Formats: sequence, C-alpha cells, structure tokens
Amino acid sequence: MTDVLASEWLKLRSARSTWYILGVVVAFVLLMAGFAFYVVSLWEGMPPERRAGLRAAQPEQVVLLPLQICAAVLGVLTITSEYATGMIRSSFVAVPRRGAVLAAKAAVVAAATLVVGQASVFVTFFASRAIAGDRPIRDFAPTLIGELPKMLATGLSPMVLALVGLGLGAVLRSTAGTVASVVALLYVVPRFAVALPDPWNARVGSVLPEDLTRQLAGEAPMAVDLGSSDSAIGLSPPMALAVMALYVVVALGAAAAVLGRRDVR
Amino acid sequence: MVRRAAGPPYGTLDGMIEVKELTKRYGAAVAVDGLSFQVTPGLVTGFLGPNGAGKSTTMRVLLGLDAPSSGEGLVNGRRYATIRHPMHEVGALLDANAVHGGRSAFDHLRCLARSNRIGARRVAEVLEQVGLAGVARKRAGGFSLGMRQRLGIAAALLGDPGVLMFDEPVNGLDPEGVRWIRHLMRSLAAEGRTVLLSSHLMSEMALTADRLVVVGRGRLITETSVQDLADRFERGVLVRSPRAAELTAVLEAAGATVLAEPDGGLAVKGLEVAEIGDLAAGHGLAVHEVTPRSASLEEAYMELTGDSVEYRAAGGSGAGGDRQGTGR
Repeated sequence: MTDVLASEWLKLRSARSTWYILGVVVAFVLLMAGFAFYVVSLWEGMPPERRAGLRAAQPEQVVLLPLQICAAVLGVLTITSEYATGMIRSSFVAVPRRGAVLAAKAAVVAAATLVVGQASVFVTFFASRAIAGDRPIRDFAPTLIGELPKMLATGLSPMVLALVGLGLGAVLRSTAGTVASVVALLYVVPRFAVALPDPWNARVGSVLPEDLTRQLAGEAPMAVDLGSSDSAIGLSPPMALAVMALYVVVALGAAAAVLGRRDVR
Repeated sequence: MVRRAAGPPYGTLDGMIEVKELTKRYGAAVAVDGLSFQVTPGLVTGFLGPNGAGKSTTMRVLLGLDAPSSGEGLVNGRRYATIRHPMHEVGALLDANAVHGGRSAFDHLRCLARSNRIGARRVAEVLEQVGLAGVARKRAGGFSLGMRQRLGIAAALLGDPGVLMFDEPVNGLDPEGVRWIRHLMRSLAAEGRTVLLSSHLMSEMALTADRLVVVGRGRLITETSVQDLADRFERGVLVRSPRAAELTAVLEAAGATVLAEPDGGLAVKGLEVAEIGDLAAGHGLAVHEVTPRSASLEEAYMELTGDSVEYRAAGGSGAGGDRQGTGR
C-alpha cells in the first residue's frame, strides 16, 4: 500500500493542474490581504464616531468559497483526468487492486487539501489581523482562541469536498460533469433549499455541505440565520461532522463499488 | 538485458499465457467467443486478426481490465489481478495514448514504476533503451504517436518482466522504428521471454513472429507457425500449354502433382518454374504461361480471415494441401 501511496503522491505532484490549482488558492489568499487593506482604508477614511459601525466580512471566511471549489476540482481531476487521457488503464495495469488505487488517491488528496485548506485559512487570518494592526475594526476584533473552532471547520470543508469530488469523479468519469455536479451541490442546491417552505428550508439546508460547515463551526443553518426558519432546527457540531463524514463514505463507497465491477475503458 | 532469476518459481507455467474458453460480451455484441490458445516462452507469438477480431479485448481480459463473461485468461498460471507487483512479471503496451499528457515522459514512468517498487535509475535505463532519453523531461502530450509507442514500450519493460504483451506496437512508427521494434521483439524472445504481439498486418508478422494465433470474429481461426502457414497456402505454379495432356504426363513423371483447372490451366505442385520450363523445352512442348502462384503470407492471411466461419466449419486446424480451392 505504501508503494501505491507513494505513486499517487508522485502523480499529484507531477501533474501541472495541481500547481495551477495551488496557484489559484495562493492568488485568493493574496486577494484577501488586499481586501483587508481595503477595509483598513475604509476605516481610516471614516469620521472616528462612525468607525464602530463599520461591518466587514471576515477574510478567513470569505476565502472558503474559492478554497472549496479549488479542492473539489482537484479531487475530481485526480480521477477524471486519468479517464480522459487513458492513463487509468496504465494505472490499473500497474496496480490491479483498484480499491488500493482509489484509497491511495483519497489519502493523498485528503492530505493535500487538508493542509492547504487549513494553511490558507490561518494565513488569511493572521495576514488580515496584521494588516488591521491595532485598529479596533469590529469584525477583525475576535481573538484567535475565539475563532479557532470556526476556522478549523472552515479549513476542513475543502477536504470533504475534494473527497466527494474524487468519489463522484470515479463514478461519472467525466471532468465537466463531475465538476458541475459538485458545484451544484455546493452552491446551487442550497439556494433552492432556502426557498423551500419553513421548516423544510432549514431541514434540507442543514444536511447540505454549505450549512454543514456553518453548523460544524457552531452556527445555525443559513435559513435560520436569515430568520426564515425556526431556530430549533439544526445539527450540533458533532452531528454536522458525522454527516460530512457520511458524504465522504457514500461517495468513496460508490466509487469503490463501481470501480470493482466496471470494465476499464 | 538478462532475464532476472529473482521471483518465485512457477514451474512449468513460468512464462505461459493461457486463454481458456474465453468469451466476452459487451451487451449484445460478442467480442471474444470461446477463444482458447496458449503462448509459450522463447518465441514471438503473433496475435493476428482483422480489426475487431477481439485481439485487444483478449489482452484487456489478460491484464484484468475487463472481466470475462465466461472462461479465463491466465498469466503464469494465475489471474493477472491477483499478482501483487505485476510489472515484474508482465509488461504490457495496450494503448500508446494511455498517458497523462501533462506529465513528462520521466514522471509518467516514475509514477508507474514507484507503484511496483521500481527505482528512478531503472526509469532512466528504459528511457535510454527506447531512445527517449533526450526528451525525458518533455511533456508526453507533445509526443508523436511513434514517441508514445516508445514510451509505452518503456513502461512495459520497466519491471524487466518475463512475459510481454504488445497491442499493435508498430502503429505510427516510421520505418526505422518498425525495424527497431522487430529487433526488440526478437531479442526479448531470444532472452527466453514470452512475447505476444498483436497486429492486423500479416506482412509485419511474417518478419517478426515465429508462431501465429490467428483470430477472426472473436474465434480462433488457426494456431500455427509462420512456416506452416506459408506451406499450407503453397499453391504451386500455373502452367498453360496447347498440349496440356502431354505436358501433364511429363510433369507427373518428374514427380509433380498436376491439377487441371476449369479454364484449361494446370496447377502444378512440386516443381519450380525453371524445372517446368526445362522439362517442357526438353520434350518440345510449347508453353504459353508459367506463373508461380505460391500465395504470399498476406494472401494466406486474407483468405483465412476473409471468411473465418467457413474455415472454422472446414475443420480449423487441418492441414490444407487439398483445400486450395476453398471458397472461390
């Protein structure tokens, strides 16, 4: 298994797409620094009595959206690029245990997206606070200790999406189809869920990836937050984590079942 | 390159490829239909048949990519999928395009090699061997089909395996490349390895293979040596003469078999053109035509595969001396 892991790690590192995706992530982290400078300049330009009323999104939360998409695309490409190029046949001839190949891909993708996800969130946090300096900007004020659960949850969700993308990619085999499916699951389905009648808006939303990240951080589902649903609905952080894990298990389980049965074209 | 002594002993099955009653259906289409044959070490075995005869499907089953509908394909006595580090036992080139174009040739091989505990030094060695050392760091996506074939062959050689399978390896190669492959196949077999080489080109096989497994429509047409196939389709010399009856007697007296054809020509076997000419001249018999008609291997192949069902019905493996008129 270590040989297969090492091989998949080499594959991940030697694919140009991996570095393009990492480049996009770095660009968004830099963009968040720019955003922090912008908030600071807004604050500086305000009359002192209005500064306390300045509201700004937290950069380490804003960066989540591109992080999730990048991670999902990386997970999808890990398998669909092999189907698209035919490399999958070379891979399975070299390692006929298809489950081992899938597990190794999952492990290296999980490790890479977890490290990059957490690193991006924390770098964004520290960079934006350093840029804000000692200015008491309200949304930049919470301490690291207070923000830690939310940041860890945020940093975890790209990995979840990468693994869901990998599993779906193995089932669907098409890059475009899988990326579209994952993005729909991530951003399109939640918008429809919010529009459902109360209490189904929060019930459905609470098990979708976007709200799972919020609930893992101890926040209410989006529909509750928007005031359109009962605040009693929602999952506790451990439950949210369990549902996230279920997504991964179902996606990778389906992938393993399909890979074992299907001829490799 | 010498065949490695390391590796578990497989007794008499070492190096054997066995296809047993293999059938593969894709939906309603039957790609391989009850195919059985064996490939033995030390020879280049040509796997020959028209496009769509089931050659690639058979190889895909042998390599564990496709599950057989029934029957099985074994390498060294076991199913490929059960081999732990298969590149050390079996090397295969299925499809030269089975490469991620974004990786360099070196990285592509390195990824495959690492999964089978093969080091980077060996990767450099095989790149040297196939003549791609100079472009090792170039992206495989920019390679010509011929270069990809070489890259695929390099991948097959990585583990220094005793069994090698190549699916249409000469496609896309220039004449120099074709000669190189021919030489490589022959030397791999000379080292005692098992070499199975598929092609739809008889002319290529005539120069490269020792044995032939000929398939058509998913079924075995014949398993034979190249020499036997040539002999089987030996059709003698066509002779026309205004004094056919006398000439027949003369030729038969000299030991030939002579068959009168419907249009008045004589099919003569057992004598060369020059001998026939000399005999005719010696007896004062005029001849109007003396044409050697020994079918080329290409023609033999076309005839074999042109209507595989008919040949199967005629007995398949039978010696064909009296069958030259089959069909038309």
